[in-house]
This record gives sequence, structure tokens and C-alpha cells, in this order.
Amino acid sequence: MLLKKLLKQAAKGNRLAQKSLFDQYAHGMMHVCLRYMRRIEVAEDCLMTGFMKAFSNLGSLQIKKESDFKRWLVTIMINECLMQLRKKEIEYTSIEQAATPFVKNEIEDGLAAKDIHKQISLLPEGYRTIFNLYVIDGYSHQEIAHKLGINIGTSKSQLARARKILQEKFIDYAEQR
Amino acid sequence: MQNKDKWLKKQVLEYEMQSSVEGWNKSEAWNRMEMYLESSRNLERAHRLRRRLRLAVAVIVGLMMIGGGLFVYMRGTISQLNQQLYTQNKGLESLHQDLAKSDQKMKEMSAQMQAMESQLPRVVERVKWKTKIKTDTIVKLKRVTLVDTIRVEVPVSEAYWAQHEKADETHEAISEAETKVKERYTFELNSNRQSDKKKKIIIEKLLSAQKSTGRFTVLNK
Repeated sequence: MLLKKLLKQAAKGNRLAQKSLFDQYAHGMMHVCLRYMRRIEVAEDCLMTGFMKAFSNLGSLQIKKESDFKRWLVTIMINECLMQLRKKEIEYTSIEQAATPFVKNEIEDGLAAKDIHKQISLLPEGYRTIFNLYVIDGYSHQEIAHKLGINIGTSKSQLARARKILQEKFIDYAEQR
Repeated sequence: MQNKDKWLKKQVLEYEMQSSVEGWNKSEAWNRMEMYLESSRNLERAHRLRRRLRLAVAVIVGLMMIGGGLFVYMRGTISQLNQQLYTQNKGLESLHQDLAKSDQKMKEMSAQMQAMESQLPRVVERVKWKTKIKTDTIVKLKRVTLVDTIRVEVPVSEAYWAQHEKADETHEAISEAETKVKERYTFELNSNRQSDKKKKIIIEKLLSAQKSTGRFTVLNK
């Protein structure tokens, strides 16, 4: 398996192997970071730190398939972004939860993935973080609460609010088109 | 809601994995990354060196401490041993002196013994009964005008005997020694020069004395 060889070499500090891994996954990971960090410089910082940590921990990594490695890398990037966000001390306030229906099918159909990505990245920081963690990266409310040091209720309410804002944004976007 | 989430997640992840980030130069990012990696490697080397240096210093200090401890311990032990040897030497010297003293004493005693031995009357000097024996038991013998000799063997201590080496003190010596040694004394009559008649008389007297006192044995030769 090519990836395994590449990982082995990169773990030994082979710069070419590291570059190869970076080339392969940099854009995807940069997207992940940009989902959490709006500014590209900050996202890049997270990406760099994430890759540095990944390279230094490759030796202890046991993977069976490529998706495992990708998932591991994404987790590192998310943790880096959350660490950065924690430094900013975002206030997650509990909002009254409302059952918010998500975007309508007709709107969905007209949306391109790029637009969805953009709209998500435009969400306010707190909402965006919880939306990304829950919807895109598949964490449970309990895990999110644990990671961010907030209540489960807060996580849920913030997610609902994020959904509502996104829906409004999608509708606006569809109307503009 | 879950289907919507799944759809949204799929859209986003597919987009992330397939498209490049606009306005972001990967090569430049890699160059920066390489710099970070290099500086990180250098930093790691520096850390490793520092760790090794600390370890080396710790080892040297440890060895020095152990060496110092050993030196102090050895010095203390040697000093203690020295002290012990000194004390033992003193003791030996004193013992040597004592031995020399006792040796001297022994020599003196030996000389004394030899002197005594030379004077020791194993075979007591000839006794002239007429003048020498005084006690009641021997008085009977006294009347016998013996001009002959009687050999007296007394197994009392030689030192004691030496004090009473003179024949005229024989009886006194015997009576005193008897209380100490509680053995019988043997008087041996040697009267070759006496006539048979006289011998017979003497023997009879002696036997009589022996019987009455039970203190000695008369052997007729």
C-alpha cells in the first residue's frame, strides 16, 4: 500500500514523503479549517500546526485504509481549530430552542456545494462551530459539550439557531439567483 | 432532519475533498511549512542536546557524589581501621609486656623450682632418730638408739617440702602436710647396718607406731 509506505517514510522525517502527503491532503484540510476559521491566515496556521502534529505522531499511527488516515487528519485539524477558537473565548449562549425545519428541497436543488460551504463559513463563530461539529463532522451533542465546555442544551440550541440562519441565508441566496 | 443533514454533510465533504481553496497557494504554504518543520527539527535537536547535556551533567554530578561518598567512606573506614590497629597494637604491646613479665616470672619460678628441685629431699636426708623426732608417735622410736637411717618419702608439695627440707623438721612437716594432702606417708627403714635383733626391735616399734597412728607404712628391706 503506497500510503502506508508514504506514512512510514514521513514518520522517519523524509521531507519528500511529507511534501507528498501535504500535497495530497492540504486542500481538503484547508477546507476543513476554513469551515471553522473564517480568516484564511488563521485557517492556514491551524493547518500548519495540524500537519506538524500529524507528522510528529505518524510513528504511533495504525491505519487499515486511507479513509482512516483522512479521518485522523480531519480530527487533528478540528482539534487545532477548536483550540484556536478556545483562545478567542467565544461565548456560547443558550437560546430558546425552536424546531427549525431545514431548507426546502427546491432550494437545496438549486444550491451548489461551494455555495453551501460558503454560507456555512459565513455563520457566526459559535453557531458555525457547533453546526460544523454536529452536522458535518458527526459529533454528538454530548461530545460537542465536552469539547467546548458547554451544556448539551446550549449545543442543541446553538445548532437550532445555526440551522435557522442557514435556512434564511439559503432562501435569500436562492431568491437572488 | 437527518436526511437533510446527511445530504448537507455529503455535499460539503465532497466539495472539500475535490476542490481546491481559492486564493490560497499550496506551494507557498508548503514552503512555510518546510520552514516550520526545519525549525521544529532544529528545536528538537537542541532539546535533545540539552537533554543529553543535562543527563551528562547529572551523571557526572552523580558519579562525583558517589566518588566523594566512597572517598569519605573509605577515609573513615581506613581511619577507623587505623585506630583499631593502633588500639590492637597497644593491646599487643601491653600483652607482650605482660607476657614478658610472666615469662620473667616463669623463669624466676623455674629457676626457683630448679633450685628447689636440686635441694628437694625426695630421698630425705639421713635422719638420726635420736635427736630429730619428737612427737608421741615417734617418741617410741626415739628411745631406740638408732644410728641408722630411715628414708622418708612424703608426697607433699615440693614447695612446701622445700620449706621443711631440714630433717629435724620432718615430723612437723608431715603433720602439717597431712592435713593438706591427706595421704599416708611412707617411712622406709633402711637399716642394713643394724643387727637383726635391733632391726627387729625397730620394725616392731615402727609397726606398733603404724598400728596406733595409722599414719605411715613401714617397709622392711
